[in-house]
Amino acid sequence: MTIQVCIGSVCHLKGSYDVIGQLEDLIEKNELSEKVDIKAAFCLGNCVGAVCVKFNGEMYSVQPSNVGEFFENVVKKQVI
Amino acid sequence: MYFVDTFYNSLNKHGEELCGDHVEVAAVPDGKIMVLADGMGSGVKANILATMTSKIAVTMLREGASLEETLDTIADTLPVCNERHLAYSTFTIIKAFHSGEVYVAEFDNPSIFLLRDGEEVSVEKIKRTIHDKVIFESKFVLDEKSLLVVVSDGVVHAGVGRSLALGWRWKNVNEFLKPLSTGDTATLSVTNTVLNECQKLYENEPGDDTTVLAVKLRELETINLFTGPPLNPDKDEDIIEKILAQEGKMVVCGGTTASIVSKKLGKEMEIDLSTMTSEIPPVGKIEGIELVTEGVITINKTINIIRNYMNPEFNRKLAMEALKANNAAAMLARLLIERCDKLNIWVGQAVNPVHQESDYPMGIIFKMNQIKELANITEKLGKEVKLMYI
Repeated sequence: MTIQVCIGSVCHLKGSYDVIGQLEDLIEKNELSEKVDIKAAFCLGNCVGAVCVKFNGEMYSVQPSNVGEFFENVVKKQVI
Repeated sequence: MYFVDTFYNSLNKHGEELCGDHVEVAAVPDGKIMVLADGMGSGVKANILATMTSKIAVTMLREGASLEETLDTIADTLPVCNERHLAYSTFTIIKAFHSGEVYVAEFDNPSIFLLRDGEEVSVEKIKRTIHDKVIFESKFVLDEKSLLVVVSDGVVHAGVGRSLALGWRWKNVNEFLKPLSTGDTATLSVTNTVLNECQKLYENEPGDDTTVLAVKLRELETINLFTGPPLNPDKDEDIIEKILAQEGKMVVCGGTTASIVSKKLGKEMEIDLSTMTSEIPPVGKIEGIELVTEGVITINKTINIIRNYMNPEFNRKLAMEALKANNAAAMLARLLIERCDKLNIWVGQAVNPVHQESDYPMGIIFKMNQIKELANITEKLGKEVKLMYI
């Protein structure tokens, strides 16, 4: 499964660099690198919800402050 | 058919506001005419002598006048110095043709430097006396591996009485230029690297006006830079088709812009995360597109990189590091500096509503000004720039 993180102008300014870094760490810590990978995307079309993250067909709005929450409640639940 | 790539820059004598050296470049249908003149003395007088000499020479030669007629006119026109009772300016005239043929006439400037792929090339010169002036004329052929450099005496004398007793000297400048004549070094880079060395030798206080003019030949290259979605989304397809049909390479700057291009081409976009930094979003890859980047943030950084790179007083090492870095802004800057003669910027005018919110610093006005700034700075690099609003 793939987590897509937007790195367009607005998302970049709202912290997509951080979000990607944190997600990479979380995937490694939870030993999920064989099941989940991260891809960046240019503008997922929902700048209001920056940082835009797309996972399993759904769009989410994630900030550097709640990446952990998103990973626990959304990613882990659907992967494991 | 070659493109004559040329760049020049000067350091003013310490404490002078005006430069006593002057370079004039004119494009003619079959190539370029360049004149580097060094007026006697420094400051205002020297500046007037050098400017008049180079302007008269370029204008007359462009219109087909002979060297004799041109020198006649210069001698009759230059104001005579009150103190020295002389009207005097040295000059080097270069005519470089698209075919690679070059004609040079030199009067009292340091001899030209001609190098090819790291080696010195000897030039046969014919001595001629015109109106008591001893002129050296030469003719030779350049190719893509050749580098021709003309300097004012401020370069060969750099460091006199300071770091070097006898100054930098011609043969040492020649050695310094050899590695710069290999590979793809742009004329701008050659010019500023030499001037930066002079600045060091002079310990930041040039004792004379110091000028470098570099000439190279290469294939003409065009870049079409597409940034921002078109005002009318119904026309996206037609417009992209039109841009793709243009001659040259295509560069896309902007997330939404990249998405519509990828859709139109039916090619998936991949993002190269290895190029991501905390400051600059990564580059994307779409088959058939030379470079894909994010928009405003990247372009802003690119302008900064080019600005520092063009400034001969800016720390050379830092400027080159920024230019060679593995990120989207540096890649765009390299492309514009090294592989672009004509730049067509296709500016999409659609407004992203989120960009207009008060906490977002880069709205549409910022964007439009930024594009103008990019056009200006690229023009200063000596490129032909066109802006198309879509």
